Amino acid sequence: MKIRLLNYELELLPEKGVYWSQHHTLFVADTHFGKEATFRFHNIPVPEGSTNGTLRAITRMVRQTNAESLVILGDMFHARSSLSTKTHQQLLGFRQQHPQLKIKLVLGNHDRPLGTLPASWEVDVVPMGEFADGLAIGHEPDNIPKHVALMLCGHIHPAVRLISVVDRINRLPCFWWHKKRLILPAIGGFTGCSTIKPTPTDGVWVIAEGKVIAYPRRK
Amino acid sequence: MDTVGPSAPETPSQSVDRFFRSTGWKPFRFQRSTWRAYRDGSSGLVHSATGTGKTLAVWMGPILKWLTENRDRDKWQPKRPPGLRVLWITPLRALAGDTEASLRQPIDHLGLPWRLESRTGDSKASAKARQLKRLPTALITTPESLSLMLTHEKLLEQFSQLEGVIVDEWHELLGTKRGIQTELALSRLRKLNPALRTWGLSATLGNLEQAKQALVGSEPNHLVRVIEGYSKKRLQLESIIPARIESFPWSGHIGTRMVPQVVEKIESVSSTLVFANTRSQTEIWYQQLLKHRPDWAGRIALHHGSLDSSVRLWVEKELRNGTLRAVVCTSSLDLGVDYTAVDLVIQIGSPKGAARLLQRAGRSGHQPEATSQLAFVPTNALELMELAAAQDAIRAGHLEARPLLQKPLDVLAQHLVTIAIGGGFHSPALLQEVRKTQAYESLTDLEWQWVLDFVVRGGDSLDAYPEFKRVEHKDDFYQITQRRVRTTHRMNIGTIVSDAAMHVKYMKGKTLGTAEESFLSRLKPGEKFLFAGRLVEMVCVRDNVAYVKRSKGTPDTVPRWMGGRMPLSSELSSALRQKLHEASHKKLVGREMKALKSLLEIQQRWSIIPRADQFLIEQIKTRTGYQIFLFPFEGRLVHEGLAALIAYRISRNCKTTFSMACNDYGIVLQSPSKTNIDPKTAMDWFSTENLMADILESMNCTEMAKRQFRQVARIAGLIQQGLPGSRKNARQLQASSNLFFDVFCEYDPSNLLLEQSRREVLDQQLEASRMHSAMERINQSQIMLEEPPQVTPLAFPLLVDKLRERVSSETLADRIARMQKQLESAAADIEK
Repeated sequence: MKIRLLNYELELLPEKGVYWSQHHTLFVADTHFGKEATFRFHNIPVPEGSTNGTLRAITRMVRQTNAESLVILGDMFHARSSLSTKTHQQLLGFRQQHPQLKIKLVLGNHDRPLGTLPASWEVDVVPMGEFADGLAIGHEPDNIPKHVALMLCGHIHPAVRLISVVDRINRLPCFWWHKKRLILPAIGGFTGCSTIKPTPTDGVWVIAEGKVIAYPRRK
Repeated sequence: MDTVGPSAPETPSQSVDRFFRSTGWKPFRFQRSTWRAYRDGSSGLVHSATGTGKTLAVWMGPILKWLTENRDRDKWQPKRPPGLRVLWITPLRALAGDTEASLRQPIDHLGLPWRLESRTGDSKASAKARQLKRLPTALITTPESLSLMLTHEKLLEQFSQLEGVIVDEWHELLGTKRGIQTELALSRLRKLNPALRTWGLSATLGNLEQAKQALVGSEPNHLVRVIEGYSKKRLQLESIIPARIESFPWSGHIGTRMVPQVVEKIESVSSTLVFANTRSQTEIWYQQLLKHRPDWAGRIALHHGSLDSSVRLWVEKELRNGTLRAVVCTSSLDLGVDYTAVDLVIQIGSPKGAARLLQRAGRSGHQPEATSQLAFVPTNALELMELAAAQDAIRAGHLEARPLLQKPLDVLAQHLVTIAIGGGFHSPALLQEVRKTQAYESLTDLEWQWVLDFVVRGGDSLDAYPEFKRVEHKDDFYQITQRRVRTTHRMNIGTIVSDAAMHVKYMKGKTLGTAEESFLSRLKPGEKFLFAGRLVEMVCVRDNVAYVKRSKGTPDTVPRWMGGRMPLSSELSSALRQKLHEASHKKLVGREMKALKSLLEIQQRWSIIPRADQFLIEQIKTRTGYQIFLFPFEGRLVHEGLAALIAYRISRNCKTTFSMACNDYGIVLQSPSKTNIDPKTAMDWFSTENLMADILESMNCTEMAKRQFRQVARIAGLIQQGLPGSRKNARQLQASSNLFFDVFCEYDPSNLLLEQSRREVLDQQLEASRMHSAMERINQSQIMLEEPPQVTPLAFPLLVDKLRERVSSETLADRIARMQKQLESAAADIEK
C-alpha cells in the first residue's frame, strides 16, 4: 500500500517492510536473527527455521522492489549467543544471494552488547539520525533528533486489536504513525508483539492475511 | 489418670487406646482395620466424609508398627530418633503446618522418640540443608518438594528405607498433572523399596477403584485394600431464597443483594465459613458484610490463595480457636484441617458438583457425629435450579467421578530431567518403572523414545535443534552434569501454571499478597482497588513489586485472578435436565423450584421449557447482531466444543463470522447476518458423521489448542517461571507460549507437545466423549425452534456473557471493511 506521510511517498509492504522508491531503499525492523539459537543455547528447545524464514521474507521484498539498499532499524540479532555457526551460515547465504545490496544497520538495544559483526556479511553500522531528505532512521522511538520531520524506527513490535460491537479480531501486527515517527512491525519470525493504543490523530495500517489495510476509524 | 505400672508394661494397642481416650474418642472399626492392614504390609485407600478421623486411621498404622517393634521403652532414645520411615504427602503446602500439628499429637502423647518435620516451598533454607544430610523419622511434604528431593542423589539411600508413604486428599490430586507427578514419584519410591506401603486418603468419589489403581500403580506387589470410613454423616441443606424472585437478577455473579439474609444466618450461629467461587467475589462479599455490620471488624476475616501466608495462617489459627464469627474464603479452605469450631457453611453461587457440595458442607460439624449444615445463596435466579438438581443427585448417590489423565508427555519429560539430575538412569529400567504407573501404563516405545529425544536434543527432527543439550547420554545411561541445567530445572519443577504474579506491598514494607501482573500493570497511580479485605490505592510499581497505601472511598476495581471457572458436572447436568423436564409438566418439587415459578412461566410464555426429549433453539435479533441460542444443558466444557463445531459446520456453507459464548446451560452464536434454520439443518449440526475430523478442524479455527499449550510449554520447560519477584535475569529468554506454539506449528509441526495440547483440549477441555454422547442424545430429541419476542430467562445470562471465541469463513479484509462501515454509520448517526 502506497502512503504519503508529509512529503514522503512510502510503500508499506505486507511482509512488514517499508520501501522508499525515491531512494531505492527497503527498511525493516527487529529481525532478531538467531533468537531461536539463543533459546537452544539455554536449553530451551526451539526449532531451527525462523531466521531463514525472516531472511526469505526480506529476499522476496528485495526482489519485488528491486531495492538497492536495505536498512535494518535495530535489533538485528537477539543476543550474543544468537551468532551461532548456523546463523552465521544463513547470513552468509543471504549475502551471497544479494551481492550488490548495500546493508545498513542502526544498532538496537539487543545489538549493542554484540561487538563487531563479521566483515564477510558487509553490514555497515550507521548511527541513528538523518538518512536522506530530512527523514531520519533510528531504533527506539524515544530518541528522536530535533528538527526531524519523520523518523522510521522499530523496537516496539506494534500490534492492534480490532473490536466492534459484532466482531473482534485478535492482535494484528501494524505500522504505526505516531508523533513524527513511523514505527515498523517486527519482521523477525520468532518475535512477539505488543498491543498499542493509537490516538485518533495517529495513522495505523494493519497486516491481515498478506494485505496491508488501513485501520478502521471514524471519518 | 493414666499411668503405666512397672509390673505390667503397656501393649502397643493399649498405648493407642490411651491416646484415643485422651482425645475423648474411641477408635472406629475402620480405623482399626486400617492399622491391621498396614501392619500386614498392605497398601490401600481410605475414603470417608470430611472430619471423621481418616488422618488418625492411617497415621496410627506406622506408629503401632514401630511400637510393636520397639516394646522396650528404656531403649527409646529421643536424642537419636529413628531414620526416615514415613512420608506424608499433602496437596497444599499451606496445609503442612496444620498436618504437622495433628500428626504430632499422638507422638507427643505417647512420648515417641520420633522426629516429625515438614519440607515444602515455605521451609527455611537452613532446615532444608539439614534435612538433606539426614531426613526426619516422618516427613510432611508436597508433590513438588518430593520431586525436588528426587533430584538429590544422596537422598535415595534414605528413601530406600521408607516403610510407608501416605498421600493426603488424594482426590484433589487425582485427575490432575500434579497427581501424575505424584504417581511418577511414588513409582520411583517403590522401585527403591519394593515393600513400600502406599496409602491414600480421599473424599468419597464416583470412581474409587480407579483412584486406588492410580495410587498404588498397575502392578502392586502386595494386597491393596479400599477401606470405607465413617460415612453416615448427617447433612442439612437449605437455600436462602430471595423474598421477591421477580426482582432478582436473571444473571450476574455478584448477587450481593442477599447480604442482609447472609448476615442474619451468620448471626444465628457462632462460627461460619462463607465459600465464594472466585477470589474477587470473596473480596466483594467481605466488604459487603463489613458494610452491613461495621461492628464485625476484626471478627470476620478473608482467606484466599493470593493472600500473604502470614495472613492465611493467622486466619486458620483464629478459626481453629473459634474466635472468628465468619471467614469468607475460596476453595483455599476446602481441604484438610479440622475446624471443629465451624457450625455453618454458606455457599455463595453454584457449587457446580454434588460431591463438591457435600465436601464443603462437611467443613461444618467437623466431628463424626455432628450434623453438617449448609446454606446456599444463589447469585442469580437460575442457580436455584442447580441446587435443586444437586440435592437430587446427592439423594440418588450420583457423586462425580474424577476422570483420569492419560500419559501427558510434558509431565514425563519433566520427570526424566528430574531423574537424570538425581543420579541418572538407564533407559529400559526407567521405562519399566514409568509404565508401572497407571497414567503411563500404555506408553508406547515410540512415545518413550520421543520424550528421551526431547530432553536430550530438543525434539525428534535431527537437524532442527543444534546447540541444545539438556540431558546427556552415553549408550543408554542418561544424566545431567551441567550445573546450570540442574539449577534451572530445580527452580521450575512443578505443574502449576500461574500468570506472572507480582507482590503487593505497603510502602512501609508489609506484604499483602500477590496479584497478576496483567492486572496490576494496567492500574494507574491513585486507582483504588480491593485487596486482602482492604481498600488500597496504587502508588507505583518498582522491581516487580506493586506498592500501595490505604485508601478511602469506593473502589475503582477488584483484582481478577485467573483460575478456571468450574464447569457443571455431568451428574448435575443430567439432574438439571430432569428438573426442567418436571417443570415442563408444571411439576415443581421443593422450595427452590417453587420459587422459580414465575420465571419459568415467562420462559414458557415467550418460548418453551424443554422436556427431556426436546432440544431447544431460540433465535432472536438484538442490537449486536443475530443470536442463535442452543440449550444442550451439558456443562460449559462440552458447550465450548459444541459451539465451535456448530459454528464451523454452519460457516462451511455460507460466508459468515460467529462470535460464541457458553455457560453451563447453553450456547450463543452471534453473527452479523441472519442464519436460516429449519429443523432439518439443525439436525445436521449434530450429526455424528465425520465428527472427529470436524471437531479437529473447528478446534484449529479457534485458539483452544494454543491456550492449552501454555500449560504444556511450562511443564515441559519451554517457559521458565521463577518465583514472583525473581525474574530479573533472563529477559532475553522470555517468549510467550503463543509464540512457541506458532513457531512449532511452522517449523516442527510433528512435535508431540503440539499433539498433546490438542489431545488435552479434546479429552479434558471439551470432554470429547461427553460431547459425543451429548450429540447422540440430541439426535434422538425433537428440535424445538423458537423465535421468542424477547430474550428469555434461559438465554439472558448467555447474552451478557463475554464473547470469547470466534469462527469465521470470511477474510480478515472483509471483516475489517464491515467494521469500517459500522463506524461510519455510527458516526453518521451521531451527526444526525
